Amino acid sequence: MTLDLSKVSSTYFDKLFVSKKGEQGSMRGKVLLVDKYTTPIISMCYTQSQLLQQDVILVEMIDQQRTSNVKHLDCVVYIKPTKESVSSLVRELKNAHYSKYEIYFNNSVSKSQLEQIAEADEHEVVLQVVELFQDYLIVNNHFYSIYLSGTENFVTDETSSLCSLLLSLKKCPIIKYENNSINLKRLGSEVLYHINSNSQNNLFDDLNQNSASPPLLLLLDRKNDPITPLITPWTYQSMIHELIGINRNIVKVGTPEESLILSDASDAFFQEAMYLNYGDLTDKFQRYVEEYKKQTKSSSVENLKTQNLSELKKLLTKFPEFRKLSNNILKHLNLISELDRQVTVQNLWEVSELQQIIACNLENYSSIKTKMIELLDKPSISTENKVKLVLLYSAKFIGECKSNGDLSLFLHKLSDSSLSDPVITISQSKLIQNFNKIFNFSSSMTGDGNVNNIGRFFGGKKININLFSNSSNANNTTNNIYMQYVPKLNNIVGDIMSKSQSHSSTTFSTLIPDVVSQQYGKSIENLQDIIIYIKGGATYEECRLIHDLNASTDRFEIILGGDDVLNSKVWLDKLYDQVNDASLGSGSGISYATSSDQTRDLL
Amino acid sequence: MFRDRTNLYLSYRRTIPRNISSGASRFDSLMEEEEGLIESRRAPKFKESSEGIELKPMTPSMFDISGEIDSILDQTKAKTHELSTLYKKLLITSQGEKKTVETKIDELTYNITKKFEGVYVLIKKFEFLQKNHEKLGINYTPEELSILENLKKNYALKIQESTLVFRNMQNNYIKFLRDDVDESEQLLGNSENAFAVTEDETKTKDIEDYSKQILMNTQVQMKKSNTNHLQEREREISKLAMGILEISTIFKEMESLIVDQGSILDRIDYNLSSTVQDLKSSDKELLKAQNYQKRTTKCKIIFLLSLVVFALFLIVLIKPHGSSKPQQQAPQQQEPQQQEPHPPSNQDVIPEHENIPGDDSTNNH
Repeated sequence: MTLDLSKVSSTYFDKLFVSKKGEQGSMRGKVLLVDKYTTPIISMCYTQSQLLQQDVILVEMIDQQRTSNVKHLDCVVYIKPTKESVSSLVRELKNAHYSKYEIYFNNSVSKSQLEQIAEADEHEVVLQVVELFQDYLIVNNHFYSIYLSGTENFVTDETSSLCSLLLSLKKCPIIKYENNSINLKRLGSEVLYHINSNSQNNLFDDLNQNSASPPLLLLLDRKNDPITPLITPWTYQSMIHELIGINRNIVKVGTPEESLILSDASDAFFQEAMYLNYGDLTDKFQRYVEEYKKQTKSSSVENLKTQNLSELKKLLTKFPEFRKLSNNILKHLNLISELDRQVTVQNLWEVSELQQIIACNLENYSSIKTKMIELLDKPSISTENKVKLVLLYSAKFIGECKSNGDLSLFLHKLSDSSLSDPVITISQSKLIQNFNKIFNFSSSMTGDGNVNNIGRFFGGKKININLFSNSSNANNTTNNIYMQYVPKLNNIVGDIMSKSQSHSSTTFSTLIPDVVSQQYGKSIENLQDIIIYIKGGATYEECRLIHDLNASTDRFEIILGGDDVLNSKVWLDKLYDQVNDASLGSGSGISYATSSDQTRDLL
Repeated sequence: MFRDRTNLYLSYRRTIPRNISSGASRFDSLMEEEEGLIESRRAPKFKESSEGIELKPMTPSMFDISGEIDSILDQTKAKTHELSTLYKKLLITSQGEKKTVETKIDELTYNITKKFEGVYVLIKKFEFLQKNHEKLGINYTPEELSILENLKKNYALKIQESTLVFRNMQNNYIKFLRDDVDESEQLLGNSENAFAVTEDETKTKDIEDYSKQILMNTQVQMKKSNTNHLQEREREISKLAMGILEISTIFKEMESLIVDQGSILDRIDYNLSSTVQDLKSSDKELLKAQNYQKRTTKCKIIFLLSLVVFALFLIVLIKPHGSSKPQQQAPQQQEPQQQEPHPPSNQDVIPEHENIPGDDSTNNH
């Protein structure tokens, strides 16, 4: 009963592909039909060669028209129970191309859909109908992401995905959500309804049987922590995402674009290095290369004279592995050199230092302001980085911004073409002006509007880290100027672990499903498993944080996820959209609070 | 966790009334009866299968081949297992019985090598099918072609795995043989140094060179050495070396087919989306082709029209020449032209004439 996503996926894929023993000893080819939803799910955790090993000799999209009739092949269908996929399946069954069908859904299928399929199965070719629950992408071992496609039924999709996650982990949780977010309230009650309702055929009953305490589903809103995605990260995986971009574990590097796979399952070096900071990473990589050199040297031609011939043969049999190793090294060399290039081109050392200083209040207001002006005057720093800095600044020094008119000064600088190129766009300037209004910083973050309060707020994290991790890790991060900032998530999780409300500014509402309250009563203690969902997207930096927390304690197991994996670019784009939408909606300067009021009225 | 909905599904399926076919078994039998007899509504399918039957002696289907490979691979697996037990046996048996065991080992190794060669030929058959399917009249669909490709990759991987096991075993055996005879080891050791200097850089080449070298060396040694025992050993080693040489070529070929784990080529969606992309691009090409075709029809029309124009022009040109009185007509044509300018000049004159009276009248006033 652990929160281990890779284990979940491997059991599911075994279920999917490993044929039951005893049925015809010899190999029998299989065809796999997927739809557009299950394709990314399956390809992020499984590979083509693994499929081949399981005798799956053909993978096809279900909505594609098939011309050939390969009657002697079996067929495995793995689809999401959506309307379109089911109708494609119906079409396929009516005109069966294969001899037998095993149908797997990646979420719970409704009875009417089942009936629809049964009706289409005229030739009675369907052997099996099974629901697996994996309506989410597994990014890392403890990091999932929910893929939301359409805008209609947004919450329903989100709910069913979350429920599939809970079911796959065999958890029936209590739900906590940040009560200042209307979206989370809806999502939370939807999930609760989903668990409580009997339409689910009592799926959630008896799930927590073996555990002494109920798991916790923690729903967070990105809007309560808009700063984290803006700050430049310095660990390997986050950096790749921030500077190059990871799309479903694929990274595209180089001028003739080359796609690389980043997966902690198949790449040992990446698994070890993905959470290392930049300095440690380069050290580790150097060691890795040296080790490789040593190994190849012993097998190189010059050494042959002295070596025993049998040694040579041993090496020869290992030759494929060597090639794998060298490919792997080449891949990471490509990535790291690209990262290095980006860091120098964007002047990231400078930018990031100031970001950290602002975010963690390492210096006083006036010195920060002079530094800001200095940086803004440099044409070599990209506009986007400047915008990020100004946003951070405006979030930190709200009172000062108002009284001294700093923002207009910065905006003036940003629109000066001699200082920044390209000049700031309209949506960027709009965002800078409205950033505070959107996220209600004035009320939630700086009670009195003074710096000390923020200082306490941000400084509190260090205490938390020391509380929950006595590893050297925490000390490392505090020593490094570029790693000072710790996402707010740490605070929240820390509070939940220690059952206090001391540091975090947001309060939570709790929803308890009937099943849970029957089993454990109303009072919930001794939390063990925490499933976090950040609406609006999680970052790799937070993923690293959760990894560290998991490593530091045995008592808790945490997994993290979101409806997107954010880097600063994606996040800024989302913010631009929001600002533009808001200004389109009703004149200008509409704040997030009022828009959420409107939705409340609608409800 | 998962939930099996088969029972619910089956109960649904049972309750749904079917108008034509009541059961699968009946349906199947119907199919068999209909096969080859009449053109039923599934006619294309049967056509294809009957084609397969006709061509079978010429071109076995890919599934026949895959079945064959499977059985051979199973056999080799069993044999390599046997071989390993024999090797172990060799270690314990006394000097007198060694010979029988050794001959057995020789036979087995030879067998296994042959089997690997057979598998290799079969894999080549896949390639042959892939390249020449049009000529052979099988006409694989793109899906079947991708099945073929996948099968090839899969078996390449399997073969490589089993050859690796076999090679390792042989290597150990050679080493064992060499340790057994100190003298030959020294000789081998010398030869190692000798050829290592002249060796190529590629490692796969190394083992081949080595095997070849051993073959040569053993031949030389055979002449030199006197003892029977030694000769036998050498023969064995040379035989093994020959086997290794063969296997290594297979190994090398297979390596080129195998896709690396963890590379983009191994991603499922990459393979899928690339086919989708291929389809899309082919669609684009088709549209383009259609456009071209439209354009050519346009071109044809234009060409036709221009031809007609040209022809008319020619007719116009030729008609005067072709007619019996060309020279009489020519002046006739010219005359109107000459006459034509006259009327305007008359008209020009007329207003003047009109004006003049007017002027006269004013003058008269």
